[in-house]
Amino acid sequence: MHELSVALSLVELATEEGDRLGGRVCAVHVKIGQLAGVAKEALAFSYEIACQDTPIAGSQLVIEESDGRELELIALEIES
Amino acid sequence: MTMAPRLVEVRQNILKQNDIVARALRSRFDETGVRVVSMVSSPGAGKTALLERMLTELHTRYRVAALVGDLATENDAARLARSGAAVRQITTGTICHLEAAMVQHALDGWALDQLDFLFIENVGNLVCPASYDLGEHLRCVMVSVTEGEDKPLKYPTIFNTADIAVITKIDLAGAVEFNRDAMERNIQAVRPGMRTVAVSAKTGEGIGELVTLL
Repeated sequence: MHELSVALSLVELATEEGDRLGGRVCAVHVKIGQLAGVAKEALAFSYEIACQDTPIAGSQLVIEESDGRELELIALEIES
Repeated sequence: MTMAPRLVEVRQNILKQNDIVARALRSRFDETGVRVVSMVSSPGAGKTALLERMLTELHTRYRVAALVGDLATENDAARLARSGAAVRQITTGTICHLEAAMVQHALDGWALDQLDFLFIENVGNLVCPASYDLGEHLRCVMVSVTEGEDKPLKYPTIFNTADIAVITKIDLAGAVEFNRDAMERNIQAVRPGMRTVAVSAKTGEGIGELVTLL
């Protein structure tokens, strides 16, 4: 179990993409597959911690579950 | 007036950074002609013992080296170095798996074109390593005769990301009434067509066969 590690990678990726698109990231949509080896609740918990003191602090994490092995950043909600 | 937030599609693998580094490592390994084999298993399945045996045997015929990952201590590296091969320890601290960046960092200063084989022993863990490509050419998942024949069914993801299954401590099979057929069936159920080999680091059984599969 390494959800904090995954959350940190997610925050880094979301921040990078947010920078590129411009505007404030208010929500991060992810897809977590059953076989990805990542627990939804643990990820949500870790996400809050991982966001602290970053440009996306306070953003909401929206998790979509699937059957496969996905561990994907699907979309960002951006306030211009 | 505040505008409603816009939803922008991204569709990127969260661990894409690891994948990028892993792919670059794989290219580098291909260019320098070194065959890279990684080993994953539960703690205590016998990765280090097997690797020690293999390094000792291969060292006379090939140029071999190894990286070994643990949360703490350099014990495994010291033990493996007895084989005469070049060995480096990666201590991860609290991280439960090796990542491509750790491998890349650990290879600093090694001339890969002077190596035939590089073995990477992962942290003992059948869960997390499945998510992290290390750039290897071949991934061996190891399961010992003492772990229960249904182990593959309990950890399908790692078996799916591996290329060969190595059943270890086969010398203990009798003592624990190991059911080889059941284990093979379960491995095939999770990963049809998976190549398996049974070994004993202690007696040397199966080592020759394993080497030909590398």
